[in-house]
Amino acid sequence: MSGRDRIDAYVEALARRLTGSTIQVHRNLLEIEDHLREAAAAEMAGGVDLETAQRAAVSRFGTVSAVARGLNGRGTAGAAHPNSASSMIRALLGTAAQLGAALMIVAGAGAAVAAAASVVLSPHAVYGLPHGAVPSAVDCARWIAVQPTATGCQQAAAFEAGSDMTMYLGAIGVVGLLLLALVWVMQRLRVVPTRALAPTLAPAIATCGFAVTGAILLTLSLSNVVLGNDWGRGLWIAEAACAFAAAAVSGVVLSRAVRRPVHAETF
Amino acid sequence: MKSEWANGNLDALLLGVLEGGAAHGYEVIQRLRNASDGIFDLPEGTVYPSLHRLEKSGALRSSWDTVGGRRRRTYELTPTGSTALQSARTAWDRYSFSVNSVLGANT
Repeated sequence: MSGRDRIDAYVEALARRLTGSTIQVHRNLLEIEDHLREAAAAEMAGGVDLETAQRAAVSRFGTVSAVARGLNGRGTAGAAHPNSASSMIRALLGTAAQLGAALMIVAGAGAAVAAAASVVLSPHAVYGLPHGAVPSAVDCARWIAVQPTATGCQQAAAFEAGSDMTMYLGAIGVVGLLLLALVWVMQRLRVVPTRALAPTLAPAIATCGFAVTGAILLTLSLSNVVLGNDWGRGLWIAEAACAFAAAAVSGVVLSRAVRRPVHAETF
Repeated sequence: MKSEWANGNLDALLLGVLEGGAAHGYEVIQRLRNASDGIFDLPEGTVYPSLHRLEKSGALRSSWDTVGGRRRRTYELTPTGSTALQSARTAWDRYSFSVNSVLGANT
């Protein structure tokens, strides 16, 4: 049969509600599809058309939520009752943590790109003071004291800004990696359900979020290049570039999630 | 009432229908429906959690093969399942005797 029929839709809806290991879920879906298609074939043998036969087979099998509750409620920690408030809240928190971690990692990556750009270009071009800025003598003295290799106040300011931003944003990126690893471990331990939410949800949010963030950063960075009213023009551009890259990667993940057939996983 | 009764004894009923030979889920349900003369007509999806639970307990084992281009899981009774079925029969005999005694069917 070509195209997506009622049984495909039922199995896909069920796939979104089942929890547990990938292979366990896949086996359940295979078994249920086999059941539904055989039941529909038996109905058709009785003289009804395909649509009626499939509707009857699905109806007799039970609602998606009831079947999912039954299949998930096998005593596995964190896997029971995917529709429960607890399960949904844990899944939402896990997704929020993943998205937050991704944002932090992108911020750290932007800092790394900016640091690399400062080597190729110059620290001043990436982290420097705004055009025409005249720092106070006290600030200059402080920057030169902590950046003794600088040849002047402007360079000391750029060195200091580069050092601070690389350290802070780098630390944020490392925290993001740790948070992502923590969520992964929680998913493996079934504390965070992996299938309670639609697989397109997180990549859709990430794609839109990173694209908007990139657009905002790019606008600010370009205005900063022109107006030169803030520190670190190059850093803004690097962060914008990384946000767009993250949006592109999220878009690819989203595209695959949308197109992925229910039974695409190997068994 | 009938569905509630069947649900409460579903594990034993499934072991009973599989005593007649290995079967896949759809066939198990058909056997259950036919053997009960249509009395145990459960929502079909409710049977699978019980089949999986029985397999996990060792009362059943399953195998996969390909039929008509589709992957199919077939269940069969294990020696542990046969023992459990005998225990369930003994328990049911005692229970039904007691119920019949109270209802007056044994007088």
